[in-house]
Amino acid sequence: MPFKIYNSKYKINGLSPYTLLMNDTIKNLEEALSVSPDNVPLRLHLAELMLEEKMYAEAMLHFSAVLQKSYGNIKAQKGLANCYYHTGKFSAAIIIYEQLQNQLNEEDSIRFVKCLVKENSLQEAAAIYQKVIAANPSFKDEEIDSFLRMPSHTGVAMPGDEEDVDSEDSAYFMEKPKIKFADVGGMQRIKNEISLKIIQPLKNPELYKAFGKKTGGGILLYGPPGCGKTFIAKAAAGEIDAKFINIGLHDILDMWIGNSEKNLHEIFELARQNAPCVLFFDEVDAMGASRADLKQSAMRHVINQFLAEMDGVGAANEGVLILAATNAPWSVDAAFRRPGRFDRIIFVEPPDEKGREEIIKSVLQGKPVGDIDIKKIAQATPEYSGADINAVVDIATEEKLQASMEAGSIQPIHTKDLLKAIKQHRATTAEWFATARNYALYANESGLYDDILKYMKMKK
Amino acid sequence: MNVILDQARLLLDQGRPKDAEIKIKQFLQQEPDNDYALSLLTRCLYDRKQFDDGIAVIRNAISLAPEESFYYYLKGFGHYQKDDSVAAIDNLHKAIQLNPYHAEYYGLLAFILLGTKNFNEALGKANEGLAIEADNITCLNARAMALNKLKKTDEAIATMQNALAQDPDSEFTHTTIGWNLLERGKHQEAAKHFRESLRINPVSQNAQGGLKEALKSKVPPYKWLLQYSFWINNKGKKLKRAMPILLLIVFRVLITLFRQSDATMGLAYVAGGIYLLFVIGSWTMNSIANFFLLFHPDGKYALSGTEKWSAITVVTAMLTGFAILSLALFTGVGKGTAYDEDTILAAGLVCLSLALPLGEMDYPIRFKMANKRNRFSFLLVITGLFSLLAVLFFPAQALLLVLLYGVGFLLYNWSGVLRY
Repeated sequence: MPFKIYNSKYKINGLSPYTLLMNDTIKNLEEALSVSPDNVPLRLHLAELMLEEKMYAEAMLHFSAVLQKSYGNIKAQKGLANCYYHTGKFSAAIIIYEQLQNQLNEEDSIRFVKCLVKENSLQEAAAIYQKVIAANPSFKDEEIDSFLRMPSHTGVAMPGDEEDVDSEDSAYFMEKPKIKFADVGGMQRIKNEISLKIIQPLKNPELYKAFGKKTGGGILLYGPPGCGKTFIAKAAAGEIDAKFINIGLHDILDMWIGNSEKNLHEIFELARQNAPCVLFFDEVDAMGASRADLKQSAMRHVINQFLAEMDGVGAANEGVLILAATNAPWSVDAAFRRPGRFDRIIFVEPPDEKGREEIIKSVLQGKPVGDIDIKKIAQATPEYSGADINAVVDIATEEKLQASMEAGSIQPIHTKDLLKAIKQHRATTAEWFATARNYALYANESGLYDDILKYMKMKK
Repeated sequence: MNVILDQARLLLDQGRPKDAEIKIKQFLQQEPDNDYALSLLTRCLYDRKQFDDGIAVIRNAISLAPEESFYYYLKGFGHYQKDDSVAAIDNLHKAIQLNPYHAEYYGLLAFILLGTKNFNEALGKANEGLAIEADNITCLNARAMALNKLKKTDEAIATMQNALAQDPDSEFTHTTIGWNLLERGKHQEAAKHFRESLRINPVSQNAQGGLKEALKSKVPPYKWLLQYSFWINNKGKKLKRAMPILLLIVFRVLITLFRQSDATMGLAYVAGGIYLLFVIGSWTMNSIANFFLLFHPDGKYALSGTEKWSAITVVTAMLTGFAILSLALFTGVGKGTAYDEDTILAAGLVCLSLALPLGEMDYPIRFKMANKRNRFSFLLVITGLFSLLAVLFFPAQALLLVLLYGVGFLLYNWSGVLRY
């Protein structure tokens, strides 16, 4: 008989055949129950069917009746709590769930968490939710997540949760840089690129809309170590008065091992909530493994998640500027370079002579100096990075410190001391260029390394 | 598995041995007796070319876990990189004894045996490895190389094609094929494979060296010389050492024989000329080929500073030498003056012969840091230049200095030959 109804094409009163069948079953069960009212399993079955049919009031009566007959029946308790939850009697549901705490399955736990959230017991809710996530890391529920996953969410007051907010933030160091582009010597080309790509869209959104230019995407900075990639990223944040989140090598590494996707999502969420914000990934090549390693699927996950976040699949990246730096651009996954992602790839070269002069001036500030021919020193340090110049001055300073101790009076730094230090400290960029040169010569199919060839004055 | 070690491994796989080393040392502070961490540290050290340190570390790991075959493999690899083939073979045998079912062990062993010119044994080991894992790239490469050395060309080609079919993106295979082709004289095809290998891994020094040789082979005499050096290298060290003396004796005998009768007198000069060309060529041909490379769009960047400068100086010395010689022989320009024909001839010869020490020197010239050979070359060049100056300003007395230079040159030559 049920077969026939199930297969029939017609509907009665807009009800689906399945509902019709259920209503029939419930009616039949009710009749059976009236004959033997002490049959506990039968009543329980009926109550559960009613619950499924959203007949909460009737189900509640039957569950209570079951509990009177067999006290402590877990199924009945859970069913009752479920009814309370759906009828909005959260505190009653919480009492039952608390009794059953260790016997709850995932669905029940989630209802428990939701009840707690509704009753504003957020701390308890978070504790239970953590257990659920520990058992099933991929679990997601938007309603709960909006309350619990992002504690920095400003809309909800969370009594006693201040500590958690802090720890969440300090995991990914957020700051508000004070330096501006004006504080960065040289690098005009890079400043222009960053400005055009991510600063102007924030300042003149209408103009960009008029031209139909999509904002978003990111900039990948590459170049030898110590040439100011991080510094210019910070300055970009300072320029637009935005917050700055720095994700370093070890943060990225932690992503590989452990809850990678979740962590990555968290970072992007944090940036979105704190817009305008500059999200800076240092040594981003650690995320895209080399071609040979791509077979390992674990690595693909993080890359895909990262790309999805960048594309703004789940949420728009309005006001989030994504910058990344690497000194091994050849290890960066090719998928990162597609339009809409890191579609601007900028070579951050060692400072030119003018840039070096400025750096030397600023490094020497506040130090006891004699007469110093800055121009001469700048000429003597071709291909030196900012970090190299720092090291040179440091060597000279140490030398002078020792001399001062011996002489008993402060000995100022002179040009010849610096020139001597230059002989001791060779440019660390040389090693990088030796490798980069090979890539530019032999693996430059897409013209990615043309800037390097230009800088090294090589023609192909 | 410990998270720190996982991260270290990841860093190592990403080519960041320095960062990986920091992580491992951090872990070893807590667990100094973890043999797996020690083996990872060894790999870091190897990646940074610190083979001695790496071997010392893996020795510790072996004493902690003497049953782990991989550690012997690592130790053998370190010895192989240091050209200590006896120790390398010993360790690889131990690794294979402990785990006879790992193809990679046989592959490395085959490569070590290739290095010691035991081509048949190498082929055997590569085949054993392939019996375990039919698509092992290392074994396929070793097999291809061994077959090529054994002149089994067809089989070698088949093996190389097989290896490429397994992994068309293996820089290793492309480099092997390149060298094999180069050895058979097909320098253009070889260059293609070296380029492909460099496209995949631009920092491969082996492929860079191969590409350079392939490009230089465009100069025919260099190609012949390269073939000769492949041949003599395959024959083993003893013959390589004896060859210059053998050649000298053979040509001496030939020349004396030809001189016996007037009919073959001309052949004696031909033989002498061939011998001289061979000797001079073997010393200077590399620099001359490098000189041609300077005008090649890729080649000019493939040369190191030393190669570039020795190419320029050698070619300059030779061209000047020839110019002066032809001046003396064909124009008779100095007749009647203090610069008679003999003096100019001597100057030309000095100039020409300077090409040899110039080609052997390291550039930029740093007398303090140089080794003995380099200092000898430097002294000889200085003497040569002085004798040239002397010829110019005191032609009458100059011959004494030229003679001194000549003696030095002969000494230099023979000490150089006997050095190998």
